[in-house]
Amino acid sequence: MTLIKKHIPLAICFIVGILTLSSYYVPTQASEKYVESMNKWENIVAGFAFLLGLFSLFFSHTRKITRRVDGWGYSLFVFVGFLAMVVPAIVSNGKQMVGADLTGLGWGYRFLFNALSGTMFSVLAFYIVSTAYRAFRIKSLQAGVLFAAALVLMLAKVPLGQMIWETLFGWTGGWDIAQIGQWLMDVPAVAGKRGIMMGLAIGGIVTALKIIFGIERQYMGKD
Amino acid sequence: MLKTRLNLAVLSVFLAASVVSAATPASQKNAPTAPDLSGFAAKDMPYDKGEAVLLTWPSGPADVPGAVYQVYAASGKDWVKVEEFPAGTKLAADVELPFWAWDRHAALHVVQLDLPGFFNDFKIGNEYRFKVKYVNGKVTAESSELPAAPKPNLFNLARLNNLLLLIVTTIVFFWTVSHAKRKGGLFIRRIAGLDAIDEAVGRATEMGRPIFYSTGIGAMSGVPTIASTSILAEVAKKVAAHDTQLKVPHFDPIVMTVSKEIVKQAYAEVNRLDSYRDDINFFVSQDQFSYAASVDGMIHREKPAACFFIGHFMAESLLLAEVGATTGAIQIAGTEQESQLPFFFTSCDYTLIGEELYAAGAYLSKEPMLQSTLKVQDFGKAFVMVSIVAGSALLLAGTWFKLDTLVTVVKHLFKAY
Amino acid sequence: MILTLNAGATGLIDEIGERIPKDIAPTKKYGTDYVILPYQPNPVAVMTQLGMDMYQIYDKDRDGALLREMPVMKGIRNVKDMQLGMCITGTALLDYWVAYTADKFKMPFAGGTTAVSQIGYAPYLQTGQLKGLMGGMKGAADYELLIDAKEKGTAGLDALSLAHIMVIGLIVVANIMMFWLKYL
Repeated sequence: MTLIKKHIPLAICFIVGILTLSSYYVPTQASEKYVESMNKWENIVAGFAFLLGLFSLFFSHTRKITRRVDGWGYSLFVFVGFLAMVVPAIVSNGKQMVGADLTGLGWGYRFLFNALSGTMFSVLAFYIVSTAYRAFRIKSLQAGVLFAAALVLMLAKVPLGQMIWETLFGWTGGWDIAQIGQWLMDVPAVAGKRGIMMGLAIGGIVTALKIIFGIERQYMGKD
Repeated sequence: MLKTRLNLAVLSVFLAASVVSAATPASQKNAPTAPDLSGFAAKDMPYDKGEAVLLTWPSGPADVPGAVYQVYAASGKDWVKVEEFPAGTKLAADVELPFWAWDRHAALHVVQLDLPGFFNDFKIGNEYRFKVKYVNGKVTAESSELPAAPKPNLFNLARLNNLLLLIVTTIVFFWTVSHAKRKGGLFIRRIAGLDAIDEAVGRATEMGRPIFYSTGIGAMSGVPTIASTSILAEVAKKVAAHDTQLKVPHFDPIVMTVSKEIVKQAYAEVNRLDSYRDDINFFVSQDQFSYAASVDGMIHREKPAACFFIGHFMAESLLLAEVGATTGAIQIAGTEQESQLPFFFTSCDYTLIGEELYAAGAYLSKEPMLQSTLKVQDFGKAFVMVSIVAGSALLLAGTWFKLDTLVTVVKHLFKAY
Repeated sequence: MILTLNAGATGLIDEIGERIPKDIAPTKKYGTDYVILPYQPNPVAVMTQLGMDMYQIYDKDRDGALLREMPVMKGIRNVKDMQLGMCITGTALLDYWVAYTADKFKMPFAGGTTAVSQIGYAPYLQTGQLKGLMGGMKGAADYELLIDAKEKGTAGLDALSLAHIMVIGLIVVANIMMFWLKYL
């Protein structure tokens, strides 16, 4: 049992990891065909995984409905929403437009899904205002510097802000707010981003080595 | 007297003749000459998968403005013009290969031809014929026809710098792992977010409210998601030991399947398998905002005592964190996306930045082998820092003292091919 | 070639496909000048495959027509035969495009992202791995000005400006109130 649950998965992980790594350095048709096969297999697994997720979703919500747990009514909407999109999709054969007319699926996508996604995204605007308030309270020198940088960037990013800067400080003949904002974006911000990127890349390499060599085995449950 | 006059006349005629012969027309002085194409060579392109050939011939004074080279290829009887370019271009120095794989100083014209683009019936190993023609107005020259068969190569020498770095990293990796069980353990600085996990689980147990754990919207192949599952294992162990409720809504079905195994294993390790329920991990949606809306609704209704947002997050990070903050939950977040870190900083109590996420598995489990691999990360960062300083100094010196070779060597060493 | 790697974006692609012959580019013909490819899961697999032999993963367009027979795909086998790639996304997919396609196969690539993510791609822009970057609505408005085709990006700048000024105003007022309560 240990062979099937532990050794074989570790061996598969090691062999596939080494082969994929080697394909980067060995430019033959064989390595290209190997990568192509892996890509196709990944696509197939992704498709089945989606089915798995769907069954899990239905099972979980069915149980909530049958047991009448708190909020079971919301679980009904899962099935209603699913049918509302899948049935028109089957009827229209997956097409959202037939000529210039919207099908049922197209109508549902455009006026339900798009609208709801847009609503969720726009809720962010309100949350950002409250986050901005919390983030830019000047409680220390560093917070003051943060506020100043944010102020400059917010003004630099919109034409109205640039006009305001020009009106207030244009007479000094100094830098344009857009130039200052661009410098902030190009120099200190990118420097910070690069540092984090390098650390993440190295961390990613080490994590990959840990998985290939079987040191990190969370993904298959420990023995 | 007569003899002298005769001599003078002959001398004058000779002088005049020599002046006339010396005064050649301007057009004849600057007449274009055809290049010598006897050095034309056709061979397999090195370091590729076998679909390209390399054609070279010497460059020279005939490469004047207005002149062009035409390259022809044939698989059967018919010739196909595959390239035409100005005579002063496509030199050895223009080839994007490093100095250890290519001589950039050779005075050659170089053409790399990808044959599948020109021949529908292309097969690796088949022989093709090539020739080059020089055209400058009426002056032309043509090379002899040469055969070449493209072959796959076993090793891409251009990536040698990359391979060496990988080998060194792997050696350091094995060295640190072999020295894992050292006395006293390895020092790891405090990571407040990870230390707070106990506090969060304790709070949830006291208040009798659930813990929400989100692994983000990444796939299982993503390193942040893998790191998140490591942390989930430790959180699940503590939750199982304290008999607290845990809910893990998922974006990706594969991550859900893996997380189910991890959580079940965690419950088994603390002998609480009787408390384990299969619906701890459940799939929500593979759409970003549908996932956020659903999790927000659950957080709003169930008012968890603790929320963990660890993994790959994008725009939904603020939605999740703000809603959690409004319910008064203690929030621990961590993501590799720097653009989302500011949102987590302001809305969450503790935030793991970038690499702290990757060190979490070792930090929490305190397994010597996992802890020792953190040394490899430290080595990698030290190498990067030394490279930046040394590379910058060398480039500066090379530019300052006009040492083009040094500048080229440094640039090639740090480039990925 | 127009494609999406996000299942929820297929409708947006359909809308664009509908608008192209109407007002975006009425002179362009489907199959000759452009083609719309179907959705594929697993973005990394798609990106890697596009650099090798794209017909292994995209052999038909979204309507089921064979790609190889289309005039627009003549001479195209992979991204190395293409002049430019562009990714317009609100997710982190542009990172993957740069790593798995643009840099690996030396394909010129450009991107359009949200303003929040824009700074994350500046290192790629500075090193030339990205040939261009549009960030947020301002970036879109800048591009519309460049190509002299003012649309939603330019139209939205009014609202964006006012929103920015409002946020700045609120933050300043909040800080004044904080100092007032603390020190006065």
